[in-house]
Amino acid sequence: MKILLAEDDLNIVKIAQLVLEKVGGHEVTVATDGSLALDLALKNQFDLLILDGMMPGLPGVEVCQRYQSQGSAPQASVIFLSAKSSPKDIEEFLSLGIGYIQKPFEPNRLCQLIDDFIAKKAA
Amino acid sequence: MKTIKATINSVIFALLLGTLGLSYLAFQDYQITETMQNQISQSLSVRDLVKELNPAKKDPTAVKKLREFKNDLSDSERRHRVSNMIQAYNGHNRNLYDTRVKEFEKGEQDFFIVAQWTIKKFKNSAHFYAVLAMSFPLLGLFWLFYFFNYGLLNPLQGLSQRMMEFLTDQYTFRFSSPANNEIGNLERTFNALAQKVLNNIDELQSLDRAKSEFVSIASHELRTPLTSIKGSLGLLSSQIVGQIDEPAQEMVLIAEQETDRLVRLINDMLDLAKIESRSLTLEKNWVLLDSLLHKTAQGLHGFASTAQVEIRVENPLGEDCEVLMDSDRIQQVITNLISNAIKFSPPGSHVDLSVNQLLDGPLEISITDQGPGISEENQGLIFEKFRQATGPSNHLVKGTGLGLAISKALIEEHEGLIGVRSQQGLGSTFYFTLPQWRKISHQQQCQNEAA
Repeated sequence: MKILLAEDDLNIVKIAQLVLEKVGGHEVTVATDGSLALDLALKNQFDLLILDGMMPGLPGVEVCQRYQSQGSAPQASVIFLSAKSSPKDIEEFLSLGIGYIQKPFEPNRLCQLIDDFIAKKAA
Repeated sequence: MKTIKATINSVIFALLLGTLGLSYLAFQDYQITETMQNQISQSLSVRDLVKELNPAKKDPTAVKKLREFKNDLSDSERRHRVSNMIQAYNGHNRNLYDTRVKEFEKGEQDFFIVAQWTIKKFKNSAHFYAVLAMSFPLLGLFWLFYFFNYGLLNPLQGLSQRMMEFLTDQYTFRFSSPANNEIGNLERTFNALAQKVLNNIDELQSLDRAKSEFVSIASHELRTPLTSIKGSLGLLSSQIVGQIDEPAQEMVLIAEQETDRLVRLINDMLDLAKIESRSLTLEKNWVLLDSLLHKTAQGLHGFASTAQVEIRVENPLGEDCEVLMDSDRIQQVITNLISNAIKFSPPGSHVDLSVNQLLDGPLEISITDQGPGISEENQGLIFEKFRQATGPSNHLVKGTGLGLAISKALIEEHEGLIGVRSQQGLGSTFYFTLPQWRKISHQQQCQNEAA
């Protein structure tokens, strides 16, 4: 899968990228701020966008909204990765994307979680 | 300032003065009529006397009486006529005396007419003043009645009504134009008090919001570095990034467990902050209790078997018992209480999860272990934040010290009670009550409200 990982914390980027590439065998592109992520998502064809909730530039929710209204079909699925945990935030994430991963996440289970979300969406 | 006190005082004073003055006038007029009446009756008795007198005979007492009568008279013509009569009598002249008596009688006749007219006039005016003097207090009573009702009691009633509303959390009402008197002062004081309370409430609410915001930001900021730590440790322990030897693996495991504990602590703190700031909304539904208990026990099966503890579920109420609750939250409480129980249970023992119906209505769910028990002194403390029972326990999962505080808050949100019965060395029973439940098999709903 071609995945865009949008996350501003470089350590988390390193870990997630490593897991996604080594364990999941995915092709990962990294963006460390929201506007860059939106730019990349609009210009390239990804299968999945993993968006951080809070990023410099644009927050994940806004990146997702703009991508979904401006991007051409076929659109990539969106999964949010956030430290936010209020019911309101989670509700917003789930209304826009196919899934939500709470930080801190279990690195060994990251690929499984993503596969589950995609399978659930397909079903 | 025109105060109510000054108004009442001046009105009562004016009424008293008016009543007294009018009474005095009425009394004076009445006295005049009395005097006239006296003069008339004296004159009548003198007339009778002079008719019977015979100038041929001497009667000194009669003459004395006549003289006294004459001296009392103020009218000079009448005096003159009486003194003429006395002279004629003393002169023993019968004819002259009779003439004088006739003159006297005629004169007195005129006097009677004037006197009667005067009496009538002053009697009328005395009546007039008396009626006025009596109507003054009556008028005053009417005024007081009106004033007490509309000037005092109605505004006071309005004020007490507003205060009652205030008690039911309606803080917005203000008196728009308080009068310049005592009632107005009360209304102004009420306005100021209401404003003060409203300000305090606003302040408390903003403090509360600030606290919740702080907790949520702090937890976000803590979770971000924890993500990297947990991620790195996870990659190390799963050896994705390379092989590590056994002592190093053990260190990584310790670091991972403590990281998980930190994560739980943050989650618990967020939970507690939410419950305490009342921003947690319970989603209450009628839930089948039996399946919830088994599901919860099942969820802890792995943990229990690692600790070699058996979880036993006892539900004498059967499968058809429904409870009104937020099932996620109650499950959280039961999970917390069972994992506490397992932590303090010796291997090979069992933890009992059971349900009872209390005599006064509510259901009691209890978790009993065969652990070391809790001293009476500690029983009161363990439901407070960051108070953990110490003593022998298997350190499978370390607690955060917030589980019981959260459980207590959640049960209280369900209008239930939570507590512990324990004796040292004889295990502990943690219990909580849920007031709203029913049996669905007997169509009739035996919904119980806890007293």
